[in-house]
Amino acid sequence: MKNTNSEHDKLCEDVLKKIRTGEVHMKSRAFFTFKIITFVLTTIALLATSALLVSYIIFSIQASGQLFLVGFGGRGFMLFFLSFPWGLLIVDIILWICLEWLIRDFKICYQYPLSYVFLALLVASTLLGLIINTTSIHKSLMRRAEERRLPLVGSFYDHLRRPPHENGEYRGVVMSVGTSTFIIHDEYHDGRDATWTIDVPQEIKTNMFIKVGDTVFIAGTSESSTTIRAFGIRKFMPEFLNERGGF
Amino acid sequence: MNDNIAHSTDEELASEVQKGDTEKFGILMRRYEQKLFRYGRKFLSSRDNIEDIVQDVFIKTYQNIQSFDPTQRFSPWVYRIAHNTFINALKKEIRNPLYFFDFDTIMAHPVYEDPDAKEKEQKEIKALVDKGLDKLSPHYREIIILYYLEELKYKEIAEILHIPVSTVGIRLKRAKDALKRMWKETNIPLT
Repeated sequence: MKNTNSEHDKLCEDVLKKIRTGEVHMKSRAFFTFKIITFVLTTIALLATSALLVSYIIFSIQASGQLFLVGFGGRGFMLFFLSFPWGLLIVDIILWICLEWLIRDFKICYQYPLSYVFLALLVASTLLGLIINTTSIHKSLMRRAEERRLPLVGSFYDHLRRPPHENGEYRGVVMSVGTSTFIIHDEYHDGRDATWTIDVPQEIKTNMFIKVGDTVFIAGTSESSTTIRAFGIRKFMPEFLNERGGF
Repeated sequence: MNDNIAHSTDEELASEVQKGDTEKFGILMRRYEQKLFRYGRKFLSSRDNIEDIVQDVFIKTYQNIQSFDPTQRFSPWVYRIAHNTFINALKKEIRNPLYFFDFDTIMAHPVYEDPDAKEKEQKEIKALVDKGLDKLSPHYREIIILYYLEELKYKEIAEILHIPVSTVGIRLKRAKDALKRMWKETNIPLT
């Protein structure tokens, strides 16, 4: 026991000797302040990126009209599932995991189960994303991308108002309305003008809610090069239309 | 003067060290060396370089002492440094990812710290620990040491291991079960 105590005393003396001779230095308070500032900035940057991604996902499914698909029954829901930007959502989940890893050593984080922290990050990121969506940031970026004035991230926006026809999604301005058909003009179809005749199922009374000049989103199947058999139709809200009232 | 120092709290001494009184660090070291040696010896089990590792803990404590908030408790802070240093020492030895993901940290678990049960179990667990703790996986081994040998509370262990208090409870239960199972399988006599 005596031996052990003297060994321990020696250990303490060794450490003190290293401190006195300057072999071991105390890191300055400024070092830790800088570390905390870097940490806080990284956390804010990650959270902002994550919120921006959430806001983009919400904006993209609204602006493209894909959100309407959810209301078109099972077939529409399947189409929505297939066209959802899953890749971006996965990137966002990775960002939330990175955030959780980053803040895990803070008491506010580790005193709660991981699932709660993850949920809190998800809610915070989504709320921030919704706040971002109340601004016109995405709309102006989309406009610039369509005018080919948005390098780097332009590809995220320039296709949003050109739905993928191969998935059965169409968009256009109503030219005329009949009882069981109406005609739309799709300005951006494959980069050239196209006019489509829309065959409407009997249960949908198009002339009740569609009028000439409206911009509409249609889910359906192409029956010929100019005819679409629709199973779902929705009118776009004005905030997702441009100055010309078109797409 | 010496009497004053003897009555100074760890936090007060740490604050003095932060202000540049490095000699006070010697007092802090003496207060913790026995505890850290015991913790290290049990956790790292029969390692001959335990002195070097504990010395490393003290060096890191000194180097990082400006990050310590004297309004908080010093003990969990220094134990946290010891925990990280011991884990690194184990990682070097086994060259494997030591702490696989602990699913118990995902969800909340009901937790109840029972001092009476602890008192009853303490003697038995200590005997089991002396006989075969080294065969227990490190994260079970550590929680047993902190609770039964270092006699820390759930809240303090949670602060050292950076896990929720409810995870301390469930991990401790699993650790005890594993220890008892191991004891039954190996049939080690407790006396």
